[in-house]
Amino acid sequence: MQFTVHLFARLRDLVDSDIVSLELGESPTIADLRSRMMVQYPIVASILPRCLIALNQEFAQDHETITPGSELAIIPPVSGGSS
Amino acid sequence: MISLTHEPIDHATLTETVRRNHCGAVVTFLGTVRDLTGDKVTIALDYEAYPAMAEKKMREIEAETRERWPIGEIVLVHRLGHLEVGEISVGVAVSCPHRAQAFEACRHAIDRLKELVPIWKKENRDDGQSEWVHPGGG
Repeated sequence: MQFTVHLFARLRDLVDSDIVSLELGESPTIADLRSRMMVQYPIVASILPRCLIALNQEFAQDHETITPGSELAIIPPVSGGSS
Repeated sequence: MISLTHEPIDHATLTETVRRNHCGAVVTFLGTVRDLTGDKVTIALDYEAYPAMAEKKMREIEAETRERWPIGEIVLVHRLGHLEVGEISVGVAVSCPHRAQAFEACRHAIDRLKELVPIWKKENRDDGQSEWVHPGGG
């Protein structure tokens, strides 16, 4: 099954696109998305492990299942700033 | 109330918006573009958001802050786009009956915003280099 994933900031610059399409099979998990992303775009290897995945605009755990039509985004570490 | 904006943040308006007669304390926090990070000279920042999720998280922070403190009014606003040194990138204004509550609520809201809201900044330096800031290094 095909899923669309939104990219931001350095991740988007590395991939050179603000959206990517990933083939993830049936009932994929967030962990499957991470693995597929690494295979398809190895250039993100340095930053992806530090990124969070947003599923329908909520931070998602690796074991969570992605349902068809879900809104997906990869969230690089936010700028934060020291307090 | 919360907002993302590409326009300059007016801190006087921001503060005035939260003033209430039953609130004897108003605290406003402003985050501004700093010219030095370590020994690197910043000339400008570019801010980018995942807008729908950023607004959702800001609304959640407003709600949780209202639950914990007796808020008269609270405003969270974040600027997006290109900002020069000295410009205001983020503002949080809070009114409460008493000052301890207002300080605590404002501190909570800005700390949570920095932690949870998907907004990123790219530093543009005086040597022509530019780099996204993604803490955690490597």
